[in-house]
Amino acid sequence: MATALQNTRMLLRRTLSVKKNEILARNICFTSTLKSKKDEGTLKKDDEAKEVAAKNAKQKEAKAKLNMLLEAMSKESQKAFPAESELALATPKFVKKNKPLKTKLISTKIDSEMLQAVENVSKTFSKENEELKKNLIAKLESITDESEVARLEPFKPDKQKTADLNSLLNTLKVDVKKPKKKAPESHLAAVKIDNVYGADPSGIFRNANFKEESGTVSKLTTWEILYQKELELLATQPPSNGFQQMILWTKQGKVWQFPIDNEQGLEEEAQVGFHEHVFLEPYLKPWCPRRGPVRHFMELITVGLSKNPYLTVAQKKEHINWFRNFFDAQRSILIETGAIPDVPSKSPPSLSA
Amino acid sequence: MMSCPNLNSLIVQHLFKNGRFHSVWKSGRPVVTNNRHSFSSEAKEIVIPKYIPRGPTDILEALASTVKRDPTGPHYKFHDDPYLIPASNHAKRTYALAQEAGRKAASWIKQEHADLFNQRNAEPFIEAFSPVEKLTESTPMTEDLLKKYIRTSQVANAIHVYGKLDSSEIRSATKQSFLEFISFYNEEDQLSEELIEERWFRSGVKGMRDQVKSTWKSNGLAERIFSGLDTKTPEAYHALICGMVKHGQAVGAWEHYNQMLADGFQPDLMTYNSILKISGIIREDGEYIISLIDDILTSMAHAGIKPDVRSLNAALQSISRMPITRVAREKASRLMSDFKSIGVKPSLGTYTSLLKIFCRDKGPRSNILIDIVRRIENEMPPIQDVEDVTFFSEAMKNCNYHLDDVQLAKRLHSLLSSSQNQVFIGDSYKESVYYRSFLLLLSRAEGPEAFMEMYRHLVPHIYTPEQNVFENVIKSISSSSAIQYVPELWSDARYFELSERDSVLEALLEALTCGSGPDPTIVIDKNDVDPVLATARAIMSHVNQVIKTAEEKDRTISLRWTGSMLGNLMKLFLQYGDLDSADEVMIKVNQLKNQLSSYFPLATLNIFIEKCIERQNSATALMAIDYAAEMGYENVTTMAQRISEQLKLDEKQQQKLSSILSNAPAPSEAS
Repeated sequence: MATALQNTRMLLRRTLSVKKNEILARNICFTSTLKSKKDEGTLKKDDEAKEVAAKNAKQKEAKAKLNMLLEAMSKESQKAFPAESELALATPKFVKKNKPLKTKLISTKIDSEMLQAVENVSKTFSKENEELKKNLIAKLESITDESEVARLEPFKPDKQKTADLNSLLNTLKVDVKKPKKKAPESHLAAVKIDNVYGADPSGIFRNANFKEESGTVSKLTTWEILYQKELELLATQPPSNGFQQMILWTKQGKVWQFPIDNEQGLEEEAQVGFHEHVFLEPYLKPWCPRRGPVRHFMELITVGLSKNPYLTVAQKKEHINWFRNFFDAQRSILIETGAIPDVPSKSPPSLSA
Repeated sequence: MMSCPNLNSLIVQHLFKNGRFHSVWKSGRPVVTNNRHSFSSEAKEIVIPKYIPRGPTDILEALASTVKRDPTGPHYKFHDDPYLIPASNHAKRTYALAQEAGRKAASWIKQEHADLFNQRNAEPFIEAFSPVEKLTESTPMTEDLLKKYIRTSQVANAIHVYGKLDSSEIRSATKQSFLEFISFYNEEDQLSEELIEERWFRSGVKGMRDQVKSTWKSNGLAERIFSGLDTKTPEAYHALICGMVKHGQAVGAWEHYNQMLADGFQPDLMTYNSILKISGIIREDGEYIISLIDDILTSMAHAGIKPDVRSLNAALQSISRMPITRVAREKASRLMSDFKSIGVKPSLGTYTSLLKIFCRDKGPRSNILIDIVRRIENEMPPIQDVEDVTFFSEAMKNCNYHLDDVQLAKRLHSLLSSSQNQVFIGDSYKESVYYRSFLLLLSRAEGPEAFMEMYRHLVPHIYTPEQNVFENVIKSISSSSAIQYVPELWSDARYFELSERDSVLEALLEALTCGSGPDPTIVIDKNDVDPVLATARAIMSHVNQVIKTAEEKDRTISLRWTGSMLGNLMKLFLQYGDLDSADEVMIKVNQLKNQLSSYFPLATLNIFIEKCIERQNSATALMAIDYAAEMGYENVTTMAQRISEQLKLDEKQQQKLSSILSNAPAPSEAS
């Protein structure tokens, strides 16, 4: 076994490395407080030895284990500080996405401020300057890599690491609490939202051969109409502005429809051709005499009626029929006065000879 | 009358005459045959756009979509006069129904005195304004009349006509139609379609419809017609089954369904939908429900009938009755995927059922609503099912009680606020549930400023909070010590007619004391009163007024002064240095002593006595001691001693003090 002095040296180095890692970690997380930390780092170097010696006795075991854990997370520090632990720890696997090329001096992954800090730190440890700088840069980069990976990808637990972690934690007799992740806001990728179409279909309709729409449309026509009416009624609310009130009135038929068509309501009349209104002579043909005052009178009537835009054809026919009946009733007077020729004809209703 | 040639035909004739364009009028593709190039050097292609047929209300709907709800003014149905704008829920309901009652009265007059409205000046004649022809004994009962009543949904008249008509006169098609009509309405006369307000407020009276209870009229007209049929056609079966299911008669529908299958008839889509809907009622256990649903769906598939969105909704409704959550969820998800595979898109009713299945009261938490809202934001389904209108109120309840998620609630609210989605709110009850949940959620989740902004936006024109919601609001404001909003809440309480409820007043007074006293940096003008102080004074005078008028008119009211109310008032007055009002409060306390339902707090009493001593006001100090002694507070004697030391008391007061002390219960332990 090593001597006490060697042990102390080993422990010194270990604690120094722990401090260094701590400083690195701190620098990465809080870049704004970088300058102050850097000063702290240079000052502390002198006091470190005294502090460490005092603390050592208490924290020896814990620090050793923590250091092991930290070393497990980086390859570089194993090279820089020759093996103090015999454990061959697993190294994390990187998933290299499109990362920019690492240049010797300038890396795009770490800030220029951090780079400056690295320079300063390496200057204090002037002996192993270049190598130290390289190591520090690489370490920073690896940490940013790891944090990217952890952020973007779901956590894939590495079995070896978890086994180590578990053993470590068991030995430390720390309360192992299962990290309870409270569901954070929905914009983080980690939250699982129940999907409406989460499950696979159960294949009921897989082999179904559905008929065309017309075959399957319900034959309950009245029911369907009533259902649609009910839906419409559910959807109507008291009108919330004047336009909606006008829509309601239009549907109830109380108001003109847009675009205004001044033949609204006269659709039936549109079917009737103008010739039926104008040419009324055929209605006179069966009964009216071809000459005489009656004919003259009836022709005046037809001319008037043909110019009348307010009556329907049926109404005009009705008027003519009325006259026909009237003349028929007054037949005797007409014969007496000589309006119609006095020829007894076989067909009484006809006034013509 | 000369019928004018159609404008369209003129143009077509012109086009054909010209000979340039041999294009069909309504197509969008012109075929230009340019045999004569004399008119233009370059052959310009003129594209005639396709004719878009417009309905009669399309222009109005386009205009209506530009108008948004203005939250600073009352709803359109109220008169826009400051005196006539309702604020409380009761007033809103009264005013809206009163307006409709006026319309009802007008149409009654038109009906009753139809002989006075003989002129027909309007062209075309408006049928809606003409009196309805009453059905009398002398009206000729014809089949056409029956059909007319079926078309216009007049149930009572249709039944009357049917009763009068001989059964053999009616064609089978009409009979079938009548059977469907009766089954749909269950022989109940419907509200006229014009009575929108009554329909809007109606469900508030009925409350939540209890679907388990059957309202179907057993051995009613529909069943009699059905049994009276010589040949029971499949359509008749369909009509009867659908009607029974609609009105809750699940058992009878199931029996008829089995009967129909035994007779060898094929059910149609509507029947299948109805049976899916009652699967949850006729089968109890979850497994049996699932097996029944699967059976029905497979028989639909075999028969080649494509299920539609209503089938999906019906199946999900049945599933929501299953007791075991995990099984229900799984089945529901599978069904959703199944229906997606045949191309059926869900409607809002589907989403409502999903919410009911996934987010049960006592079940595990589910945030399926987030996915649902995302889908709706992408594409809002049109209204297809009666259940669609229940979605928004259910979703907001879910946000509030189940998920406790403000962001989601706000997204939901912005969805509802767009004018074409207003139709989905349902009726006044669902609207109040929706806004109630929204407001409660906001009061819990947001800070006072943000919350009050939203509150002012919604209240009072869009929504007036009910009593317990309002109390919650006050409590949340007081717990965040935002005392600057309390005067506003007091004036709102008066506005909403909630100022005579004792719980509201208790909450308000509690809220008033959450502040830290008057701001010393603000220089107060002599005539200006701090709003918090003014509020306290106003509350005191208001309560006194209310109690006084009630006593004068000999009415019993529930509003009484309580010790806590008076304690809070006193505390506030002392905080703001309004000692006159504090004296008033003390007098009141003394007056009411034993009638106060809760105790006047001792700490406030002590502070008051201190102030009295400062001012050398012995009368009120004595009152305080009197009260303390009666209530049996412990350190009466010490207080009394202080008073006798510090204050100058005259003969009578000394006597009184000693009498109080002697009557006071002996202090067991020195405090």
